[in-house]
Amino acid sequence: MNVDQFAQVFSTLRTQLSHVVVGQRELVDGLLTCVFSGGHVLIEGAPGLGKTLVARSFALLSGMAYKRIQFTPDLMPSDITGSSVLERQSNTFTFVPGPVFCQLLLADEINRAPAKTQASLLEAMQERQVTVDGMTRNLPAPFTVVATQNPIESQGTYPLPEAQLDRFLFKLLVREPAAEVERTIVRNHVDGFDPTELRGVTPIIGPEHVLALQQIARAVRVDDAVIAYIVEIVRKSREDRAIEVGASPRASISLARAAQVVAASEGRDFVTPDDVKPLALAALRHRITLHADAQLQGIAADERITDIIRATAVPRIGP
Amino acid sequence: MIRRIAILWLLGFALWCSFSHATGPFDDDDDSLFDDTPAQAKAEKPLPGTPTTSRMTADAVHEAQTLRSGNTFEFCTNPPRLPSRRTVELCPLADRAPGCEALKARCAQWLKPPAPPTAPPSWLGSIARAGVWVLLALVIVVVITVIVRAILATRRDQQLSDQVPMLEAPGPEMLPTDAAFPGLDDAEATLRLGDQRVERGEVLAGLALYLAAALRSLEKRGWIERQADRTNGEYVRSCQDPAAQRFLRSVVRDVERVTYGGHSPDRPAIANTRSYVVELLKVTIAALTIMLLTSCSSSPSPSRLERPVTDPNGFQLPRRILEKQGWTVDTVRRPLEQLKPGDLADRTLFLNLNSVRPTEASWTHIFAWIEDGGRLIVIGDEDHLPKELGTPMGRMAIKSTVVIDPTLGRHDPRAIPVRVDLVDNSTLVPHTPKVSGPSVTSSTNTIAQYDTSEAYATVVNMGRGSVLVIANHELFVNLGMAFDDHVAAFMTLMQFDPHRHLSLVSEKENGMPSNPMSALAKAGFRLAMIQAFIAIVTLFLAVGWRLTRAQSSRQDIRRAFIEHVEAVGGLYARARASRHALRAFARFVEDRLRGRTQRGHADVAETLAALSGQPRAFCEDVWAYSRHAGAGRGDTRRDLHYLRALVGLYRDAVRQTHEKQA
Repeated sequence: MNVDQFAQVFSTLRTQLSHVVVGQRELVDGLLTCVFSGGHVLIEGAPGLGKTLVARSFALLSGMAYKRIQFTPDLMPSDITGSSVLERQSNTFTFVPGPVFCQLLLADEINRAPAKTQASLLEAMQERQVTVDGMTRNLPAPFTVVATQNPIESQGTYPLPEAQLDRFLFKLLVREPAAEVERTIVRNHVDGFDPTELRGVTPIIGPEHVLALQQIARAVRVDDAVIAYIVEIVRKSREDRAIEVGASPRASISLARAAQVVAASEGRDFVTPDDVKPLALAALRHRITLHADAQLQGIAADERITDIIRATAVPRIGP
Repeated sequence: MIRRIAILWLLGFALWCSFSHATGPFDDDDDSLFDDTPAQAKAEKPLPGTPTTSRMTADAVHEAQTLRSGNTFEFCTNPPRLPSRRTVELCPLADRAPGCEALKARCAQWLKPPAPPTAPPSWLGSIARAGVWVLLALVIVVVITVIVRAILATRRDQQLSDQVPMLEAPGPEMLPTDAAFPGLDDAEATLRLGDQRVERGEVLAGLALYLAAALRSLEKRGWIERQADRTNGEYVRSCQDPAAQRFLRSVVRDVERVTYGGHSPDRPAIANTRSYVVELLKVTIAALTIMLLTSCSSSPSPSRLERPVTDPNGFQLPRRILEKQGWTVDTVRRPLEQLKPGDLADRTLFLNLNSVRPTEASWTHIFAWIEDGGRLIVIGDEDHLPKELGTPMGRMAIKSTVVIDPTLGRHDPRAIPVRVDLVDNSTLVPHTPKVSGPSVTSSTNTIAQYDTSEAYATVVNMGRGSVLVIANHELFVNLGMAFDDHVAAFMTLMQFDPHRHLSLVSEKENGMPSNPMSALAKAGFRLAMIQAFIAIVTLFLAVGWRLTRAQSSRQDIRRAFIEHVEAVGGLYARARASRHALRAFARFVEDRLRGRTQRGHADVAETLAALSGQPRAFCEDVWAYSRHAGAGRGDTRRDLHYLRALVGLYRDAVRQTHEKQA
C-alpha cells in the first residue's frame, strides 16, 4: 500500500462515518487520525452528541474487536484488566481477561471512576500490555482507547490526572450541531435509522489493514523545518506566562505522528506546516495546565494555544 | 516583463472591445431597451419547417398565453414603481388588458395629479447652492491633499531607500525568506530574483522566491494577507479568486514537494512552477482589469438572465414569441451611418423611432441600403418619419381600431381570426392585400388602417427593397401581447420579414446620447476614450495601486525618522549650526562604517574611498574637514559644501556595498 491508497481508505472511512455521525466532521477526522497514528483519543462533550456512536461505528467499519466499559465510581481496576480466578476442578488460578483485551476500547465517562481505576489504563495505553498478578500480557494490535467524558457534571466525577491525560493523543471537543444538521439527524431517525443496530454499517477494512495503514503513515517524511515548527509550538506552551505546566515532548511526538496521518490522508508522502497547525489545539489542549490567575480571569486553554500558534512563525523553506 | 505583458494585453483587450462594439455588424446580446435572453430563446427554437401563417399565428397566441402565465413576464402583476413616460402612455391600454389589475392600480397612481409643490423660500436656494459649491471645493481640496501627500510620502520613502539602504543585508548563504528581502515588495522583481537563483543552481531558493512572488502578487490585489503564522495552505484556502486559487495551489504543491518532501525538482518541473506563478500574476492583473472594464463584457450575467420582466413597455415578450416561432432576433451594434448597400442582406432591420432618431445622413444610408434590397420595419410617430416615408398615417391613437385582413385565418380552421381591437370590439373590415414580403409589389400599399380610414401600417417599396411603416408601437410592447388578437396581428405584420431574422437597431449606437460619454462615443471618440481609460488604468496599476496599499509599519517608522531628521535639520538651519550638523553627520558616518572596516584598519577616509570609488585624496580632505571641524560658528557655505560632499560619499559607499551583495 502507498499514501494514495491510504488517502482512498481514509476518505472512504470518513464518508461512511459521516453518514452515521452527521455534522461532526472534526470528530470523525480526529478519531481516524488518532487510530492511524496509533494513539488514543479523549472525547469531551455533552450527552447525546454522538460520542459513543462514532466509536462503535468505526469499530464496525474497521472490523476491530470492540469493547465498552461504562466507568462508574465503584468500578475496580480488575474489572478493566481482568483477574485470576480459582478453577475448582483443577485447583489452579486461571486468568479471565477483562474488557481491555480488545482492539477498540470505549471508556465511557472515564472521569466517573476514581483515579485508582483510571490508572489501570495507564500501562495499557502506553505499553499496550497489562500486568496482572505479576504476569504481563500483551494486548491485541492495533489497540486504541476512545474515552469520553462529560464536561458539565462535576458531582461524583474525578478529573483525569496529568499522566493519564498525556497519554491521549487528542482531546476532541464535540459541539452542538447546527440547526440544519440537527434536522438531518432527526430526519434520519424518523426514517428508520437505529443507532443501536447500525444496520448497513459493514466492515470495509480489517484490523490488519489498520496496522498496515499505521505503517504507511509512519513512513511519511517529516522535514526538519516542520519538526522545528512543532517543537517551537510545544516549547512556547512551556514559556507562556499564563500556563503553569506546558506540554511534554510526548506532545511534540504526538503532533508529528498525527501530522503524518493527515499528510497521508491527502495523498502526500511528506508533512507540511499546514498539516500541523490545525492539529495543535486537539493535541495540546489537554496537556497544558493554566495558572490559577489565568483560570480566574476566564482564560481558556484553547485561547492560549491559539495565541501561541499565532506567535509562531511558519517555516517558509526547508534546509 | 509582466507589467509590459499586462499593458500589451490591456491594449489588445481594449482594442478588441472597441472593435467588437464599434465595427461589429451585430451582437447576439440585446441592448437595454430589449433586455432579454437570446441564448435561452434560441435553444427553444422550433425545428426547421415552414408552418402556414395561420398555424403560426395560432401557435404564437398559444405561446404568448403560456409565457404570460409563467413567472418571467410580470409586467401585468408586478409593474415598476418608477415608470418611463412611454410606460405611462400605455395606461389606457392596460385598462382593457385581461389579468392586469396590478398594472391598472399602478396606472391610477401614476396618473394621479401630483400635489402642487410648495415653493421654498428663495434664500434657501441660494444657501443650498453655496453649500454645494463649498462642499465640492472641500472634496476637491481633500482629494488633492491626499494625492499630493501620498506622492510626497512615496518620494520621500524612495529617497530614503536610495540614500539609507539596509546595511544589514543578508549574506549569500542566507535563505531567501521574506525577512531576508525586505525591500522586494514587487512580485515581478521577486520572480526575476527567483529566476536568477534557479539559473545559479539554487533551486530551493529559486522556488521559494517563486512562491513569494505569487503571494506578494496576491497580497497586492488584496486577495490574501501575508502573516508570519500563516501556512501556505491557509493562503490557498483564503484566496478569494477561484482562478488565482487554482494556480496558487499548484505553486504551493510544487514548491512544498521540494521544500518539505525532499523531492529533487528537474528543469521541466521548475519551469512548470514558474509558469504557474506567471499565470498567477497575469490572473491578478486580468481580474482587476476585467472588473474595471465590465462594460466590455459581451455576455449577460446570470442575474440578468433570471431577472423578471416588469416593464409593460419592453420588447421582451414580442421577442420571445418571435423566437419561439423560428425567428432569429439580434441587435445591430454599429451606427446606421456605416450601413452600406448589400450589408445584412439576409435580415430585416427593425427601427423604433421612439428610441432611435436617425439623422438625415443616417436616413440617406438607410435608403441606399433599402434600394439595394434591404427590408426595414419602422414604428413610430409620423412626425419623425422622413418625407420619403411620409405616408399619411394615423396618430398614435389608442382609442382607435386597427383592422388587418381577416382572411388569413381561413386557411386553417384552428387558427383564430386575425383581428386587432385595441380597445373596443369593433367590426372587422376586410382590407387588402395580405401582409407578406414577397407579395408586396406596389410602391405604397396600406395594409392596415384605423376605422377612421387613416393608415396604420403601410408598405413602401423603394428600389429592390421595401419598408413597413407602422403608426405606433402598441403591438410591439409587452403589454400589447396581453391581448390574443394583438399577438395574431403582430405575427401577421411580421410576415413582412421573409428571412425570419430581425435585427434591432441599437439605441446605444443610434439613439439620443443619454450622457456626455455616450455623446463622445457617438462623435467618434470611443477609441480615444478607451485609450484614455487604459492609460488611467495603467497609471493606476503602476503608481496608484501602491498608494492604495496599507503602509507597513517599517515604512511608518522610516517616515517618522525622516520627519525627525527634517525637524533636526530645520533646527540646525534656524540656529545656523552648520558646523554642528557636519560634525554630527560625520560621527554617524564613522559609526556606520566602523563595522565595515577590515580588522586593523580604522581609517574612515580610506574606507570611504574604497567603498565609494572616489579618489582617496578627496575623501581624506572631506573627512578631515568634517571630522575635525572646530566647534562654534564657521564658514556656513564651506560647511554645507563639505556636508553635501560627505553625504554623497556615504551614499555612494552604501550603494556600492549593496550592489556587490546583490
